Formats: sequence, C-alpha cells, structure tokens
Amino acid sequence: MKKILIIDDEVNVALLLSKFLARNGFDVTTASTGTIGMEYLKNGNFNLVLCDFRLEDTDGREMLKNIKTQYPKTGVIIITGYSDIKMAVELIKMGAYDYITKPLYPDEILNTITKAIDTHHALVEDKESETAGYDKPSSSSRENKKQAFNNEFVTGTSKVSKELARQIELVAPTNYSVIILGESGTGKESVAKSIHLSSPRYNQPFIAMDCGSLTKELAASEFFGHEKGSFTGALYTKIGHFEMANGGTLFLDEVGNLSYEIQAALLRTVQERKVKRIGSTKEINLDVRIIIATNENLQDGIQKGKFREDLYHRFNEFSIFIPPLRERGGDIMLLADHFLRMANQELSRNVTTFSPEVIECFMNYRWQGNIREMKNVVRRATLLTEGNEITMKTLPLEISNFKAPIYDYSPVAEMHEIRENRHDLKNAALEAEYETILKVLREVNFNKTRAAEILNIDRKTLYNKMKAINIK
Amino acid sequence: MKAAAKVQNKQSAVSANNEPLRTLKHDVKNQLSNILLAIEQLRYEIPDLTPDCIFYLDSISLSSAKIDTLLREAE
Repeated sequence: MKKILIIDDEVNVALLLSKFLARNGFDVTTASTGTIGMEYLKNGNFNLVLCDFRLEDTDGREMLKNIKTQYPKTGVIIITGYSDIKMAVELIKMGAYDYITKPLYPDEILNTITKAIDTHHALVEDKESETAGYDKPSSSSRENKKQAFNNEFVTGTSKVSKELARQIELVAPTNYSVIILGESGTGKESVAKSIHLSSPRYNQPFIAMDCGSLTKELAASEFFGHEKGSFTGALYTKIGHFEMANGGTLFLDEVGNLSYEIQAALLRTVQERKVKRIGSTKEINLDVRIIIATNENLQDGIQKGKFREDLYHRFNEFSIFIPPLRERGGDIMLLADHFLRMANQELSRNVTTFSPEVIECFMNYRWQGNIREMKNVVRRATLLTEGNEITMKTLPLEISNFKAPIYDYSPVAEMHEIRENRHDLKNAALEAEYETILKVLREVNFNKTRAAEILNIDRKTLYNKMKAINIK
Repeated sequence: MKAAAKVQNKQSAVSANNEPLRTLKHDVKNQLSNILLAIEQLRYEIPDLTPDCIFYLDSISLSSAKIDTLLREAE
C-alpha cells in the first residue's frame, strides 16, 4: 500500500482528505505542523507528501527544500489557497511534483496523486533505491494495472479502428521505435500505453513525458537527470525520464516542440543506448523502447530545419496514424456508450441511453477535439441529466446548435470543362487551386478565416477564389 | 530612476491594499475544500441516496464550484 503524508494546519482539510485517500487505497498519515511532518518522515518511508504552503511553523518552500535534501525519492505535492504562477514555477523547479490550488476537487487531487505515485514507482524501481525499503510493485499489481487499462481501452468496430488494432498487435511484441501521428485528442497516449502493455515489457515502467510543456532550460534535466550541485538550484539528485523508463517504454508526446540542441542530445542517447546525468561522469546503460507522438507534420519540420532528419529516421521504425473521430463514424456511438458507462460509475448515476436527436447530433458533429472532447461532453451531459436518457438540453451549445455545413462538394459544370481540357496550363493551375482550397476547407470544417491562414492568402482573396471556382 | 521608484512604490501600495482580500480568498478556498471533500465522503457513506439527496448534494457541489469560479475571476 502506498504511503502518503499530509501536512496541513487546517485539521478538517487534513482529516477529510485522509479519509478520501484511505478509501482509495492509500495508507495516510496526517501532521498539523512542519516539525511533526519531518518527524513522521524520519520514521516512515513515505511515497508522497502533500504539504500545505502556509504552515504555522514554516512554509511549503522550506518543507520542500528539507524533504528533497533528506528524502530525495519522496514525491512532494504542494497545496495552497494562493494561486501564484511565479511561485508554482519556482516550486516545480525546486523539485515539487505539482502545485495544486485550493479548493481541492476530489477527482482532480486523486488523479494528480496517482500520476505522482506512478512516476515515483519508476524511481523506486531504480536499482539504486533497492535498499531504500519502499514497497516494490508486485507483478500482480502490474497485472491488475494491465487489466484496468484493458477495461478502459475500447477498440472500435469501424474499418480504420480494426486496422489500428491490427497495427498495434503487430508492432507491440517487437522492440521497434514507433511514431504515433494524429490530431489532438485522438488518444495517442492510450495507443502508446496499449503497445507497452501488449509488449514483453508490460511489467516494466511506462513513462510518459509531455515535451510540449518543457522549457529549453528544464528539458535536459528532465530527460537525463542531474547530480546534486551540478548547477545553481540543483538541490538534490534527480533521476531523468530515460533512467526512470529503463527496462520499459518511454513515451514522448509533442516531440516536434523540442529545441534543436535537445534533439541532438536525444539522438546521442538513443544511438549509444547510454545516459549520463548532468554533472556526472558515470554512464548508465539503457534498455528503453521509445514511442513518440505528434500532431504536427514532422516532415514539414524537417524541411523547415526545425526537426532533425536523423532523429526522425531513428524513431520512424514504424508509424501509426490515428484517424480523427469524425472519420470513424462507426465508432462514435460505441465510444459515447463507453464514456457514459465510465461517467455513471464516476458520478454514481444510472443514465442508460442517448435520445435519438443526441445520437443524430453526435453523428453529424465535427468533433474537432476528438475523443477527449467527446469524453468531456458525455461526462457533462451525464452530470446534468436527471432521468435516464441524455437529451439535447444537456449538450453544450456549440454541439446542440451545430449544423453540418452544406457545401457543394461535387465538381460543378465549370470544373468538368476544366478537367476535360487538362493540357491547358491555365486550367491545370485552376484545377490545382480548386483541389487545394477544397481540401483545406474540409480540414478546417469550412472555417474560412482559418483556411485563409493556412492557404496564406487573406480572407477576401479566399472568398473571391471560392466564388471564381464556384465553391458554394 | 525616480519614476521607476514611484511605480514600484505604487505597486507595493496596491499589493498591500490587496493583501486582506488575498487572505480572505485563501481562507474561503480552504473552507470550500472542506465542503467538497465532505460531500464526496457523504456520497460514499450514505448507502442509498434518494434522488432528492443527490440533487441537494449536486447543488452544494455546483454552488461551491461557482464560488470558486467567482473567486478566480476576481483574481
């Protein structure tokens, strides 16, 4: 059982939080001051500390510093009633796993704690910590995790979903690096997790890293770790994500955002299969499978000199494309039913169906935010539903008022004439324009401002061209 | 230099004026945490909640979330 220490001088918050966490399977101890908290830390191996920022005898900054110096492998989450971005950044730089502002929403805090403990698992599994006396995750707990994920992961019945499942099944048992491509919200991390759990590495760590939110300064230390004192502010030894994932899988999300320098360091590490913490001379052998995800076109990045071609080819041993939800018509209601079941469980509700209007609306909607958007819409609708059927009034306005644009997709008479006279250079240029404009318009759901941006022309020109080539 | 010092003084004064409000928000947020966590516990501890009870608990949750939104908007 994972051990959590709550340090908060608000006795009721500590008590209620400890009851909530105990109910969710954690072994919780509470302390009302920093001094008592440090005493408890001395006597017990805690996996995680939840510490209020304002305490009677000290503050969260001091506590974080002390905990990270004396117990570097214990995760710390700072809780505070003040929302101060500057302070949050400072605390995270000092080694806090996260900074949560009050009020504490039970689901939100449970989610953060679970993620922090998962990261901590990886730390604990590191060979150096074998003697530290933490609970080692048993293989049965890994099996449970795998089972839990399989219950959450839905394989669609549409042709594209079946193809996706086939590709996952095919590549999972190998050691290939994989690139997962897909729009935001299509479930890239779930696919990566599915590959990991179907691979022989399933009982080893799966570490996910969001490269989109990494600053240039933090990236090296996050990837490779650092030794205590290796630079100003390095108050403790930090294990990087490569080391955490050793033996398992490292999932790098939004990899297109990494700076060129970090890409070079990443390439070296991937090629040599060795990592050196910043400020250390000791090389650590790596056995990590890498899965990367991006919603950007990496080929474009290569052409523009933003992404290294050698790194791209190193990663591109296999690539999987996840189609957007709007192209997976057959899966839409399957997923909606699945999210409804999950929301019922989460909110202790018994909503069983969607009204026929809602089903029609779901089938026609563009789902720009893909599966993530659908999950949120269904959760919201379940919360607002009083009976057992989800109706139109529980849907957000942008969905209930959505009207599928009616455009004339079929080539008009003029286009036929153009096509018939292909050898005319002027007509060939017109046809290319027509195809490009229509393609971009479809991609952006006929949002003309966005289309004009992508096409690199102003909106007025786009309207004129649409009129000229008869796109209504 | 004088102008910069003036601006800094003004900022400190504004910040000092805001301090009681900041503390008030902090304390309200603490109490909201208690309400939200207590509701969560009630949902668990009362075995068969009647639809009315669910409605009351949902109302308290939603109102707490609304108070939180109002506090955030005032920041």
